[in-house]
Amino acid sequence: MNISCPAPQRSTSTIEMAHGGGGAMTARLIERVFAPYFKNPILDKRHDGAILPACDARLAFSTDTFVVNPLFFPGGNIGDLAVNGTVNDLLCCGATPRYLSAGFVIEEGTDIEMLEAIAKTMAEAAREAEVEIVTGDTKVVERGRCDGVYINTSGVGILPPDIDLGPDNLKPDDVIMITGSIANHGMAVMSKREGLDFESPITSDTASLGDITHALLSVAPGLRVLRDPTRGGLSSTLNELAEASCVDIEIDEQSIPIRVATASACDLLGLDPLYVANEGIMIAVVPPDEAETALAAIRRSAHGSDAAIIGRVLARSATPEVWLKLPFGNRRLIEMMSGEQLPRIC
Amino acid sequence: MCLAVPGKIIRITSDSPFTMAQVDFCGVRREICLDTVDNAMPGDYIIAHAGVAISVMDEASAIATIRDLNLMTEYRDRIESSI
Amino acid sequence: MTASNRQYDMEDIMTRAATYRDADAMRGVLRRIHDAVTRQWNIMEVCGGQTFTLSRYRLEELLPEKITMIHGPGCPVCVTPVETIDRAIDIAMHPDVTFCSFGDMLRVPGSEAALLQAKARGADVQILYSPLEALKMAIDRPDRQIVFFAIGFETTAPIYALLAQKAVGMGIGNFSLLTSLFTVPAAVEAIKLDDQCRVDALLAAGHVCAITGTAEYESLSRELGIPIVITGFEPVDMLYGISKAVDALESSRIGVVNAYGRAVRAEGNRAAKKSIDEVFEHYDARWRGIGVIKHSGLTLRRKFEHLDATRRFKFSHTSSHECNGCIAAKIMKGLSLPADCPHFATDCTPQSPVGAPMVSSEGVCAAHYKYNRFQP
Repeated sequence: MNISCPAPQRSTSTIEMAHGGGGAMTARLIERVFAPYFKNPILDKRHDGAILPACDARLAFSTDTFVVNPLFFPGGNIGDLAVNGTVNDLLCCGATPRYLSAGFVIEEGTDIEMLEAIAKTMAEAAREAEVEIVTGDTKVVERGRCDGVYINTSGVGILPPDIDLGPDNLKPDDVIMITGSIANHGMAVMSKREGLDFESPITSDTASLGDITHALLSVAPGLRVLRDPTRGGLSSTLNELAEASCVDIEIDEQSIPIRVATASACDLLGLDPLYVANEGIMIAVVPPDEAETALAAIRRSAHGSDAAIIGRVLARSATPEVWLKLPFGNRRLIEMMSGEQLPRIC
Repeated sequence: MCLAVPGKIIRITSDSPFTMAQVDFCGVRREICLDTVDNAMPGDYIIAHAGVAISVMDEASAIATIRDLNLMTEYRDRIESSI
Repeated sequence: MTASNRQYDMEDIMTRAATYRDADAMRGVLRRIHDAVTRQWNIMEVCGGQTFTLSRYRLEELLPEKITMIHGPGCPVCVTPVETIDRAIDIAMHPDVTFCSFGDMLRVPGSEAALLQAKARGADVQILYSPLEALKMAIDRPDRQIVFFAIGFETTAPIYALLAQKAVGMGIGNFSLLTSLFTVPAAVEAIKLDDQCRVDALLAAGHVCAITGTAEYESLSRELGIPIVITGFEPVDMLYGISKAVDALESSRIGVVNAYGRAVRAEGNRAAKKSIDEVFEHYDARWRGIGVIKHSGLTLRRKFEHLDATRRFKFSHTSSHECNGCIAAKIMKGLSLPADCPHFATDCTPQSPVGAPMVSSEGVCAAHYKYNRFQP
């Protein structure tokens, strides 16, 4: 005699509150949407937590929460963004990323196929970055209580001895480079958001940058800092570095790589690309004698073909400032972003 | 006031409720309303403000300005190379 | 090759911003300006967009010392009266209202708060890039009252005129405009006629003139006895305009020079002028920080007054008041500098603006804060 499940089998196409209830619906959601993509021996144990092999090296640990709207944008979606974001934060510490957790807050009514597409992208991004998603969580909130899907990822990476890429490492005369063209992610998202209907070839730069950091760590032993200029853009990140290291910084506007379409989109909306978010580039600071080798190594990497030297560290300063050298040769101060960048009309 | 950018009309895309055209802004394309200008045609350059064309641009004037600018640059080059 | 027989790539000279941000072109014009100036001249740029470019590229420090730039009143975000901001917030708080606005209006402080705070308190406030989207929203959402915060000068007015005509033509009942519209010439005249004002030449705003044409400015120039130069907004355009102003000043010429011919025609934009005239009429408008200026505003004509959001929604606010000590009026008349204000960069910053000129990136205080602070 066949024993069948007493609860009626339901196949739904949208998320219901019960999908977050911890019962059969939750289990089925995980079976269908997450397990097939995130599959690995640690996760497959279905323990309350992931059991990771211990090591006596130092660990880097980072967390980030992703609330992007729209969930899908040219060049990516919230899934690869969530994986790449945390992976890049670990890489910026100089670590080799190993394990991620993934926590989902899902709005009731979310399309399950869409969720599956996000999970699939996450799995691909994780494979690309050579990390495993080893533990996770799913919660469902009532319709209107969140905006589709929010994802938190936390990650650990293994940090080789003697690596210190702290933001306070900058020294006078150090060379500042950027690994790719700026403002692509922010403008890709912006072009979709708030009804700004560009028909643009701008795509998000979301990517994990392990190849670049590995290349840099091997050719530039004096590497001072790696930082990904995400929210707040290049200006805000450089200001953070100047502040942490108590130095002045000067960058040259004309040497900052930006694609023509991205720059036009910024002009069209009245946004300053120096404050627009990036998800697939890093700022790297190296001593002057390693600059050329470092730049060449970045440019050989998959996501580094647009890399450029954009400036240098000036003297130590009690009032750290970041200067932008203008096309004419004079310069002006650039600051941290104030408030949210809103498209302007005037 | 009045952030406005120049673009080139690619094609007219609809006429209701607004006359809209696809306009190219140095590689970024966007639908722009042409109801506020007379006789704008594909191939024309327009100035767009807040999603609407406010001016059909004048090519002869643009050339005149550029010529004037070039003369100034050449004048400067002459002066400074003779120093 | 010399300038006269060169072939031009039209895309380049019509649409490519880089053409008008070129350092060599800037050097050429600057050389010309330096060679031409013999006396002290005060030149007022009318428009916030021009102020923004001056600050963004720090052009003032490249100009001869004899030229002083005075920053005019032309930022619509800055001059929208505090009462209108309060009104906007009041309307936005109506539960059936979706209040649409350009991004930069959201931070402008009213008496108590800005629209951004109203949004955080639950008002349905939408940032739109184009007012057209608001009318589409009204069509798509008949259950909501869609209100657009119609701020601006002559540049933006024809868009609102078009929307009003369409709303009436299509019988769209759930769309209205909260207007705060100004015209430039009346304000310029009022400021220039102020006894204390020492303006020798005006740089008029290219995008306003693209609509209005040059005729109004011809008569204004003669009436005020000063040259007026119409400029674009890229750094080369601005310097080019300044060089034309200096040429006119040095040879005592008055009248209008159009230094932005690619965008501005003498006759302006006839279609736009016609629809502005059909929908709006002039009235004596109050400018924030400056006061009432005769005939300087546009308000909906009787035929369109049912689209006026102030008629559609009752106002529950009692009285509006300006922050104490903001010297916006003096700054916008060119009588004081932002740094002269006790609030500047202390309790008045772009993050928490006290006065309106600190809000929009084109506001003179914000431009100074962002680009000129700490600098000589």
